[in-house]
Amino acid sequence: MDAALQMTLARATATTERRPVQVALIAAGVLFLVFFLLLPLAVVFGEAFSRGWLAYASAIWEPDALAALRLTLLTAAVAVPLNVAFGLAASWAIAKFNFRGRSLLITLIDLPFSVSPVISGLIYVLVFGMQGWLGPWLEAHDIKIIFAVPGIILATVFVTFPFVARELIPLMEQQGTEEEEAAVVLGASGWRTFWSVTLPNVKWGVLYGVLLCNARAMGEFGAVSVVSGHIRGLTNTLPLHIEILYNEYQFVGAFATASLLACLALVTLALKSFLEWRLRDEIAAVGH
Amino acid sequence: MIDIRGITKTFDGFVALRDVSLTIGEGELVALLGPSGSGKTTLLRIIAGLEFADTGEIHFEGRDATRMAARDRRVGFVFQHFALFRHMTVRDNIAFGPRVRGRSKAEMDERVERLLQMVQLEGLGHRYPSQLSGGQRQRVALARAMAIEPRVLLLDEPFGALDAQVRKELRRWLRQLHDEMGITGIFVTHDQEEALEVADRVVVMNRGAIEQVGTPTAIYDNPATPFVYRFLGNVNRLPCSMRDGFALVGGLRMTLKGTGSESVSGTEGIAFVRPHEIDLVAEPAEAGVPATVRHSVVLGPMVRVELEAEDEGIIEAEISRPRYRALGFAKGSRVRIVPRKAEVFLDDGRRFSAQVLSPDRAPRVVGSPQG
Amino acid sequence: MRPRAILLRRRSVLPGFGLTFGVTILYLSLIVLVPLSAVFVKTSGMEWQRFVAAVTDDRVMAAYRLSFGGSLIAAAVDGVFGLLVAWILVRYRFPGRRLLDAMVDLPFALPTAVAGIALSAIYAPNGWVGQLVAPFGIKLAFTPVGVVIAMIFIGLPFVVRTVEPVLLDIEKEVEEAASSLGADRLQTFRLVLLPTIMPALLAGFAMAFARALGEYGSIIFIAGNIPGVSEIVPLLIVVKLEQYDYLGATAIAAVMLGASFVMLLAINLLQRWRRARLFGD
Repeated sequence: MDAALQMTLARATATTERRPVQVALIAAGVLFLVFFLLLPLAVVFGEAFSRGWLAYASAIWEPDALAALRLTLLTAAVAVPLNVAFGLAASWAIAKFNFRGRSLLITLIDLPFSVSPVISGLIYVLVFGMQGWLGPWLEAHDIKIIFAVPGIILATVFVTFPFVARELIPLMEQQGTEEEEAAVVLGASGWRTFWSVTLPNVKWGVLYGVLLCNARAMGEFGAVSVVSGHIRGLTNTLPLHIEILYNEYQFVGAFATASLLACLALVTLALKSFLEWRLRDEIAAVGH
Repeated sequence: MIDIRGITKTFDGFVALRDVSLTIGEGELVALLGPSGSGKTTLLRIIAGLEFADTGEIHFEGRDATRMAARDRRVGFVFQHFALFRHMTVRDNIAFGPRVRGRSKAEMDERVERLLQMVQLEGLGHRYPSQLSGGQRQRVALARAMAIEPRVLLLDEPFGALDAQVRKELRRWLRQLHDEMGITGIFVTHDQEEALEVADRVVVMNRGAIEQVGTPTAIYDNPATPFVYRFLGNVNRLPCSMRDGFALVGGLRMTLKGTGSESVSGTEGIAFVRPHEIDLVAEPAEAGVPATVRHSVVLGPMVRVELEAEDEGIIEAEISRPRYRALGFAKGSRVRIVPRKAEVFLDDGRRFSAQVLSPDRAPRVVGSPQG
Repeated sequence: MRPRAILLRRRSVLPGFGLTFGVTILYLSLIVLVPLSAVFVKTSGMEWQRFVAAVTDDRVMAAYRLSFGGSLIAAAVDGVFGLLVAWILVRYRFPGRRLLDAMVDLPFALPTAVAGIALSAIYAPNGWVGQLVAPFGIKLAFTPVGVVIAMIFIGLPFVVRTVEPVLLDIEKEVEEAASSLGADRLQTFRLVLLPTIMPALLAGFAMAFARALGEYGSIIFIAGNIPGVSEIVPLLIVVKLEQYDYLGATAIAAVMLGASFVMLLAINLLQRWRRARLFGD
């Protein structure tokens, strides 16, 4: 580095700070992130393997854990496609058309994000529970929703409700309606236009939404906890299973199970970074 | 007085400025003129302290300011896109400089009032930049820069972001303002008309170096290099060869002027001819560059004729309307191009002015303002 | 006139509005609006005095204090450090920057139960950090401090992710202008940058606050859940439910929903203010 450049870096120029100030700020920020973000992650894996590989493997390869894994996968397998279908419908209606009450609709779609997970579970108890609106009728027909799998799925659908839609609405808005209008003018049907024009344009956005939706669906705790009833092997998802193990002081088991979900989170973050990079192209392709 | 000595600046291996030296006198209004990438904005930013030179020095009134931070230079900078503080009113924008320099409230208010008046924005002090037109924003930016009572005012493409009408108005207004205030000013532009109209002195830059410095008239009438010639307005290039003190352009003998011109012979060169220094004659003619009329446009008292010469491509000529009528050209007419005056740049680097002297060869031009 | 024409302000040649709009409204109503309304229907059936008693008893009041107070502190900490993190990620280049940038979203991606047990393992008296401070008589986990720590964790990405794009958008020229007008870096930050970032920072603060207020999973493990001391409002709702006190739980939920809606409104207003700032009225 030559002297002039060094001098420029060492001093506060018009748009940046002195090097020592920079170093101090970076150190403070990195320390905070390491302490608050990386440490918890390290603890999960550290505790999970604290008794060695064997203890780890046997904690995961255990009937209740596997049952919880199955239920978690099932929940995500139902909740994610439902919300993708909804997200596509909602974003088509909202982004491609202009109507009164449009921004209210967007706010309502975002609503589940501002509701406490506990309340998200509670509302289904109020509707489908024994003392709820539909409780007696369900009881009479021997249909179980609360403290059963359908309740878990419903609560999960609720908490993951906005993910796909809120990703697609701004993306489709930015892309405008010209391409679709061209397709329709050229004689394509509505479905054809959607499948061959709109969907390819937003595919990375859809994947992004799916990714976030899936992460939350597999990881949801509060809402599911309220409606599940915690029946081992039957209505336990992985996060609920972690809670039970932890409360029974089976720390290796709890953290081993937690490490599975932590891996899911890391994969999600990695894919998210990749998709954000692709999404930039999708937005840039519009020329905004 | 600003003294710029041997400034060189590179960005990642790209040489933005190469050993640039320039002196700017008290009260002067100087234009840095050049195409994009010529280094003019970099030079302006180095004067402001927003960029630092790799080598070279800058002196303000004899004091070395090379390493001085921007905030200590007392230099008013007007940015191309104004860079107004969007969350502040016009008044707060203008008061910003005095405020961070710790001036008293009364002094600040007085100065803001005076500046608002100067830029003709009285009564708009409470507005936000987003509520102003482009021209008004430009004037706020100017008032804000003036509020620190700068020793020099630097303007980066000051009219670049405005539309043509507002641009012309502001140009005149800036010149007037400069004359009244007498402040030293440097502005960057790529528009030669703007530079020639507004500045006392024009610095033409190309590829990180200064090509020529001079008054607008000097620059326009005596371009020092082929680049300056090309850059200042339309100019035609015609190949020529030297023989015994004459330049031969399409068989036409033009007399070279200047010391050593008599002995020039055997070299090749290029004759730069301005459109209004061209005359056209109808075929058959004994001399001149043969060409075909492609298109003509009436511009006030003149007619601009676009011609296609066989080897030289498109040539533009401007002749008077009576002359054009007399010639009776139509699209596709075969004509000869006859330059009256030219600047000849030889391949060996020498340059001469050339002129058609012998009256029998020079076509009689009737009614031309230059004739 | 077909019914949908009333809704449409602008005619469009694109088909499918009726279908997609219908599906959206139906699904939204079934999954979100109708169940949510159950909270208000149920509470409106309560006698006023009983409702007031349910939402103001001592244990509930202590929980409000912890939830609102803790969220406020956590959101403030997130505001300061979120701005710092956004600043260094946008402004500076250092090794590991991209990795840290990706990791900022960890609290979004990591299931709350996982975060909860991890935090409690770190800050418990025998935990990684807990045992370092225990000799000084400092207890972090199972106290309100633990609750705030979890709230900080969960709220951080909101501030970073709302501030980051605004920082990226700031034109270099604005800072250069401030500098050439005579401002030092601190003045430029205080008078020019901070006011520009402020709407986004407040929005991020409000989001972090709202999230911390409703958070459950990552808090309950580290909180210790001592009634009146480290018991948050969402946990209290769960406790009431487990005691089959549906009315009590619903009444508290109604209060919390009300608070969420106020926050939502505040966030929307802040975003609007921000846009107005940037693009004029």
